[in-house]
Amino acid sequence: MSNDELSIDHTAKNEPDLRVRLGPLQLKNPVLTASGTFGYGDEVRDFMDPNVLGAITVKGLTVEPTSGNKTPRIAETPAGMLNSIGLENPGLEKFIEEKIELLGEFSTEVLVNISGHSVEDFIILSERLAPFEEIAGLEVNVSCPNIDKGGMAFGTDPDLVYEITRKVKARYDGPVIVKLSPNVTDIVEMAQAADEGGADILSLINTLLGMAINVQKRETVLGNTMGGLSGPAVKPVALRMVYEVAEAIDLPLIGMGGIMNSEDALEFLLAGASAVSVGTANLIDPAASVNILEGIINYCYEQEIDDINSIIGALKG
Amino acid sequence: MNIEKKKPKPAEILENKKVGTDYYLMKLKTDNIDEKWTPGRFVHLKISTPQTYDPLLRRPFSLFDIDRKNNILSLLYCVVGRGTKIMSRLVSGEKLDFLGPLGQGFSLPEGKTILAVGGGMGTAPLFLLCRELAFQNSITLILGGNLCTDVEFFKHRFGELDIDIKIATMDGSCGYKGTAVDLMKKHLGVNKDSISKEPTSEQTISKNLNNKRTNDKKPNNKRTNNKQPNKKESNQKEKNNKESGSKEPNREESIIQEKKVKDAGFIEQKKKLDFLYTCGPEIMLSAVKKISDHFGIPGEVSLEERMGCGIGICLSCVCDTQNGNQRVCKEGPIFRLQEVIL
Repeated sequence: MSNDELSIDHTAKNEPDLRVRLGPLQLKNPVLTASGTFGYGDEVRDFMDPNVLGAITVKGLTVEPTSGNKTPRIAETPAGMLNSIGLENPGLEKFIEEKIELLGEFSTEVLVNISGHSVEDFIILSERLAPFEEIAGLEVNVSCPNIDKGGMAFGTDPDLVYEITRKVKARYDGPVIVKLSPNVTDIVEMAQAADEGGADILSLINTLLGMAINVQKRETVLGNTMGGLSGPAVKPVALRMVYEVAEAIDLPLIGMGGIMNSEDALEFLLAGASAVSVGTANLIDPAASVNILEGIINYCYEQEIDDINSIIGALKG
Repeated sequence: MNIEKKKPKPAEILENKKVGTDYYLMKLKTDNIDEKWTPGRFVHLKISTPQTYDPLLRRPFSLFDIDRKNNILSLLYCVVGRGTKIMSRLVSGEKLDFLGPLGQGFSLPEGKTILAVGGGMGTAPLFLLCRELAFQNSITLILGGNLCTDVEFFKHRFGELDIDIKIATMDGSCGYKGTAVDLMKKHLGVNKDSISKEPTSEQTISKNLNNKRTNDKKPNNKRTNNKQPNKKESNQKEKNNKESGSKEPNREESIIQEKKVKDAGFIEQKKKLDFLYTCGPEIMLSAVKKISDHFGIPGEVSLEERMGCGIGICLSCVCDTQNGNQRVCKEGPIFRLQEVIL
């Protein structure tokens, strides 16, 4: 992947229009980064310029500072990886104090992923972040465990997805993206709940809950026993869920899950996503998102596509 | 549309050979090995072929040696899992994509008396360090391993340098019979038991982990995923342990022992030792840190932790320090011994 010698072939054709509109969010191109795989955008500057992307999504934010789970926090699995970072982040106030100004220096859009352990957490986060113009939108992570309800993830209960979405939307004027958990029987039901709650955009999928065991030591590989599976292994599941939601719900979608190259990204666009997020691939090649964007542009030239919007949800048959 | 970016550079394998029971040495030719390539830093190798993702993640390797003139870097690795097994089968002429050098390197003093303590494969990053420091400093290396075969290669390579080498093996097949830490204490003239009266920090940590595990097993707590309260609780327990009266006699004893050591002339010894470097198994690092803390000898440690990205974005490889969590790949892998909590 990192060795591909992609160079863009201009041969006298029109430069494709890559702009996409996701409800209230206008992006210059459909390639984004997924939360937790791109830090705060500054760590990758040695390898690429984040400003060429449609948007970046920064590390998940919680009200209180969170030190995260014990190590090992990562485990390689066939064509994938498990992670249980445990939402390590400096907390809301320190984020505002130390990070927001730096995020304002990006010329591309910055989305902030928010996580909570109670409905109240989401209320605090959305209220407090509402005044900051440096933030282009909030991505609401409903995959964390809900302490008030015995640790069951918010994202597996449509009533809670609805409630959180509605409460965030009531307090935050900008675009609200709800990031859906795939750890459910019916993803459309969750998408519907977020839609009814007033979500502007849906992003999917978050990681799939999994685990790995070291048989020699008879121990779980992750310090936290279970973790989220990502990478190429989850792509077919993610693609299917994006397709299902796109068919059923009239909201713009950000597709993600195991996107490693431009062909993967194009699959998501064809399945109905208006934009894609690159996640795990960033960990292997910090310039992966840029390579993917280049590949999409090349595809447009090859296929004589003038406007990227013409391929969104454009499966034949 | 032209998008500017730095592509990870491929390096050509010049040599990849077995140099010990499970040790392999890989020499890679790359372009411009400049002043950024310093001891203690690491490269992040993509083992899978271009366009493929298996194994998915890169593998970090500390710089074993570099040849600035010919742009060659040497990595020493041990076959421990699937990635290193695949790596051991690569042949010269093949290209490997890598990121680096990454992380922070060792500090490079001049005119100091230095002790370096390496355990097994952990000795690898100390070679380039010793090679670069040997001209300007007086260095003693303590090399520890289970068997003679664990230290053979290092003994040979470090033998090229103008440093003093002392070897410890668990079975006594080479050098001193015992651990690297035992030999370190002997070298420093420290009474073997004088600083092991208080619970060692690794015992405290494993106690904390046990507390955490016990909490995790409580059914109601199992899915809450919130480590914060557990950590606080553990800290509280640690505090209680420290404050509990039962520990006091040990502490007094330890002070007496320390005094004895001082009386036995350790102050003179200490004057001769300015700085410590160490890398190896955590139990060894913890013991070296304890000696360093006890006698106020500054030092640096190279830490290892399961890594994801290697550039500070995924927060997989954190370690606990006086300043909270630090990323081994970004703020490390070299940390001040005084700063890390082992």
